[in-house]
Amino acid sequence: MKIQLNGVERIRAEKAVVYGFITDPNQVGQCLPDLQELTVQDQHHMVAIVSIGIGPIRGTFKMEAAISPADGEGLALKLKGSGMGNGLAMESRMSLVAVTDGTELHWSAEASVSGPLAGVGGRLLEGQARKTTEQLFMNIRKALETGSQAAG
Amino acid sequence: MVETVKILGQPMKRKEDPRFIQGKGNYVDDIRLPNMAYMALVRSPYAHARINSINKDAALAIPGVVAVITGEDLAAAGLAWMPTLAGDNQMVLATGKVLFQYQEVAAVIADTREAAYDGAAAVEVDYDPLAVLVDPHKATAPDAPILREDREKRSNQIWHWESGDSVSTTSVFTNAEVVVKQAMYFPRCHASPLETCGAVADMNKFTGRLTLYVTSQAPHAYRTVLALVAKLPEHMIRVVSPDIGGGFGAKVGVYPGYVVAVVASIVTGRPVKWIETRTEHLTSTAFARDYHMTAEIAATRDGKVKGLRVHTLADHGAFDSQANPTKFPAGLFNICTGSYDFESAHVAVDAVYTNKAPGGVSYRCSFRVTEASYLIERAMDVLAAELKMDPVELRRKNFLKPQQFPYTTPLGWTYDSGDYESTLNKALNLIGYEELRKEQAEKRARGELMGIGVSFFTEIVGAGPSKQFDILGLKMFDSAEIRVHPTGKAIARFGARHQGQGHETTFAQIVGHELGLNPADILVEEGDTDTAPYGLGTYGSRSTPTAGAAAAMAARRIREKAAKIAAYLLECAEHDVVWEDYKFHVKGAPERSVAMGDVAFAAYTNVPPGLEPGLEATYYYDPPNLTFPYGCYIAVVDIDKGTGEVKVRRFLAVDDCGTVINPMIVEGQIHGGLTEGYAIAFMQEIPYDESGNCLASNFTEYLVPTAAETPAWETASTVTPSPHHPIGAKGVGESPNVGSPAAFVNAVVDALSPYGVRHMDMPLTRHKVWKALREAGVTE
Repeated sequence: MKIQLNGVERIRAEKAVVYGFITDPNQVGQCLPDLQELTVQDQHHMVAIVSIGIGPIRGTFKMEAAISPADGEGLALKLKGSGMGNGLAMESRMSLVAVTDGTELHWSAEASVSGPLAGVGGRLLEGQARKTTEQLFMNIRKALETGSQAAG
Repeated sequence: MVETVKILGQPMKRKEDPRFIQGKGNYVDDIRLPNMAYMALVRSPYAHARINSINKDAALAIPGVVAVITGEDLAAAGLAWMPTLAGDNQMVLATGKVLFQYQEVAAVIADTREAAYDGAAAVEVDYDPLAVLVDPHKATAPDAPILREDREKRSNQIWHWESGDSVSTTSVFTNAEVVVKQAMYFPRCHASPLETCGAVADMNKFTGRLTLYVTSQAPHAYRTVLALVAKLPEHMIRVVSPDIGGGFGAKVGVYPGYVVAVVASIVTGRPVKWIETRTEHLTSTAFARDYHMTAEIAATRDGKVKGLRVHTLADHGAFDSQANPTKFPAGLFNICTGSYDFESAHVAVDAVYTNKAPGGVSYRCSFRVTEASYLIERAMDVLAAELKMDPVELRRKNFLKPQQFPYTTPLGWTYDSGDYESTLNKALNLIGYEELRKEQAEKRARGELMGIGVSFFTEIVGAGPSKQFDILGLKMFDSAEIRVHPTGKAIARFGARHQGQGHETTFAQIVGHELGLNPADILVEEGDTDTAPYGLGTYGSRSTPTAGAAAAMAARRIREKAAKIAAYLLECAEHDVVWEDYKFHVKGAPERSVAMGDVAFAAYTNVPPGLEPGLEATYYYDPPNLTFPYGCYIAVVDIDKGTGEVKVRRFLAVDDCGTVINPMIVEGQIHGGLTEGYAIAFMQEIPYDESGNCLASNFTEYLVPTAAETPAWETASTVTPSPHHPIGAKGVGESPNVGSPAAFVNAVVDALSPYGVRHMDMPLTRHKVWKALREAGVTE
C-alpha cells in the first residue's frame, strides 16, 4: 500500500538555521512522532524506535533513517523499518525557500506499508499516515521556533 | 428393526449431532498431549522480497521459547520444499526470497502458545523488497519480474491446457448466425471453514512412530505424501483426522505448517501443536476460484446453441497448490457445456504465477465445476438477452433430452442420466414463473427494479474412475470395511473423511439398508489411517459416489456369505434362500425366515461346516464413471434504486441428485451451500493492493453471512438415479455452491437489464449495484 503526502511548513527561523537543524540526526531525530529511543550512528544515519498504533495493531517499530542531500539545496530523509510482522518504508524530500519572516519547508513523502497494518488498518491507514507525517514536520517547526529540541 | 419402512430415504436425525451441538466434538485443538509444545509461524510482510538474514537471538531469549526453525534449517535436512498435490513445488519455510505476503518464513516452538507468538514477533528478518506482480494479465509481459527462480522455465506461465476440438469449433463460429462474447471474473474467495487448519505432530523417539493429528479431508493421502516427502517408513506413520469443523476443500492440500510441526516434534522430542489464526487461514491457506474467463457462444437466430469457446486465465498465486486429479490441471472445468446440446466446443486455460497466496482449491466444488457452471449459466443469459428470448425458453430449447443419455459431450464427458425438462417444469411451477414475469412487467412500468434469475447446472462429481483419475499416482477409488458383530451390531470404516456431511448417519443407512440392520446399530468410523481402509478422502462430492458405493458393495459381499449361513439355519439349499424385506426367507415360504441378527450370531457360534467363521468384508470401489447431478435454481430479487441493496425475496432450489439416502441431510447441505453461494455472489472477495498486500485478512473484511443476511431457502427435488451407482445415488453436497452464484447474478442483471446492463462481476455489493445505477443515469 502506497501513500503519497505533501505539505508546506512555514517556520519563523532563518534558512541556514533550518538547514542546520534538519541535517542533524540528533535534532531532527527527536522530532519523530512517538519516539521511544534514538541512536545516532553518524552524521547521516540513526536508528529510532517508535511506537505505532493503528486500529487493533499496536506496538513498536525499529526504523533505520538516513538523511542525505538531494537535488541542489534539497534533502532526502529515508526511513525503513519493521515491527510486529509489518514492513514500513518512507522516502521524503524536503526543500527550503527563504521568505520574508522565515523559511518555508516544502515536503513530499511516499510511504509504503506491508503486512497486517496494510490489511487490517487499511481504511484507517491513510489518515494515520498523514497525521504522523504532518506531526513530524510540525515538530520540526515547533522545535525551531521554541528552541526546544524535544517536541510532540 | 422396522421392517415395513425403507431405510434409504428416511430423514433420520444425525448420529453425530448430539456431540456437536453440545460442544463435545473432538477437534485438533482439543487434543492435548503430555509435554506438548506450541508452534507459531513468522510470516512475510512483503509480497515479494529477498531475505538477507534472519536473526533468531531475540526470539530465543524470550522465556519459554524452545527452538526457532528457518528455511535454511529445513534445507539442511532437504525439507525446505515440498510437492503440492498439483505437481508443483512449494516452499515449506522460505529460503532466498518470499513470494507472497504472509508466506511462512520461520517457526517458533515454545512451552506455551503465548510464548510462541511472542517469539514469532521477536524474530528479526531483514528483507529487500522486490518488484511485485499482482495482475495476472501482466504475468507474461516482457517486463514482468520472474517469480519462480527455482523453475527451469523462466516464465510466470505455469501451464497451458486445452480441451475439445479447436478446428471444428472455429468453423461453427465462422458460420454462426449469432455470436455472443462475455468476459467474466470469478473472484478469488476462500472456503474459510469455522475451524482453521492445524495439527499436533507427535514423533515418539522411543517407538520411532509419528502420529499426526491434522485437519485433513484425506488422511490416507497425507500418510503417503508424508512418507514420500519426509522419507519416513509408511507403517511408522499414523495420521488421525479427528472431528473436522468444516473443510469445503480447504483441508485437502498439505500445508507448510503441518510439515514444520512434524520437523519441530522431531527436533524438540516433544509433541508440537500448531493452530492457524483466522488471519493466517484467510491469507495463506489455499484460496479458491480466481478465474478470469471469456465465454463465446455461437447460435442460430432462433436460439439453438451450436458452439462454445472459452478462454480462462487462472491466477494461482505463488505456487500451484490446488488439489486436482493429476491429468486435470484445470480440474473438471471442461464440464462447461453444462446442460446443453452443443455441436462443438473448445476450452483453453492458461495458469500463471503472481505474488499472491497459493492455491486454486475447489471450494465446495468438484474441481472447478463452480467456475464452469457459472460461466455457462451466465453466458446463456447473455445469449438470451442478445436474442431477446426468455432465458428459460432458451435453456429448454437446448436441453439434452432424456433419450440422449448416456450422452457424451463435445469435451469428452459421458453424462449418466438426466431428465432436465421435468426438473425445470417443477421449479417453474413451484416458483410461479409466469406470475413473477407478469409482476416484473408491472413493476418495470412503475420504474421498480425486480429480477428473476435462473440457473440450470449440471455437475460432474464422484472422482473417479482409475483410468482417468489419480492424485500423485494414487488412483481415486474409495473403500469400506464392515464388521458385523455376533449380536447383530456392526462397525463400518471408510477411507473417506466427513467434515460435517453426516456420513455417520448416511453411511449407516446404506449399510443398514443392504444388511437389514438398524442404522442406529451401526457405528461409522473414519479418519484414522491405522484402522480405516485406504481411501482418497472426502471432497468433490465424492463420498457417496465412491465410499457410499463401497459401503453397499461391501455389505452385499457380507450378504452373500450371510445367505450361506441363512440356508444352513433355514435348512434349505442356498439357491432357495431369498433376501426380501430386510431378511432371508425360504423361497415360497416367507414365514420361514431369519434376520441378519440371527445370521450374525450363527457366524460366530454356529458356523456351517466348511465355512470360514466371522461376518465381515472390505470393498475397494473403482467407479465405472462419474455421476452427474443437476438442478434448477431460481432467484427472485428486488433492488433499492437509492441504496443499491439487493433483497433476495425468494430462492428455490430443485435438485436431482439421484437416489436420496437421507432427505433431511440433503436439505441441510443445500441450505448450507446456498448460504455460501449467497456470500460469494454478494459479499466475498480477497483483493490485493498494488504492493501485494492482502486486503481481506479477517472477518471484518472477508464477510460471512449471518442469519440476518441469509435469505429463506425453498427446496424441492426430482429423482433420476445414476444407472451405474449401486444404489443410484449421485452426490449433492456441492450442488448449491456450484449452481447458485449464476442464479443470483442472473437475477440482478435481469433487474438492471432495462438500463442496458448485460453483465456484472461478483461480488454484487451495494456499492457496485448503486454505481451501475448511477452510471445508467439513475438519480433517484
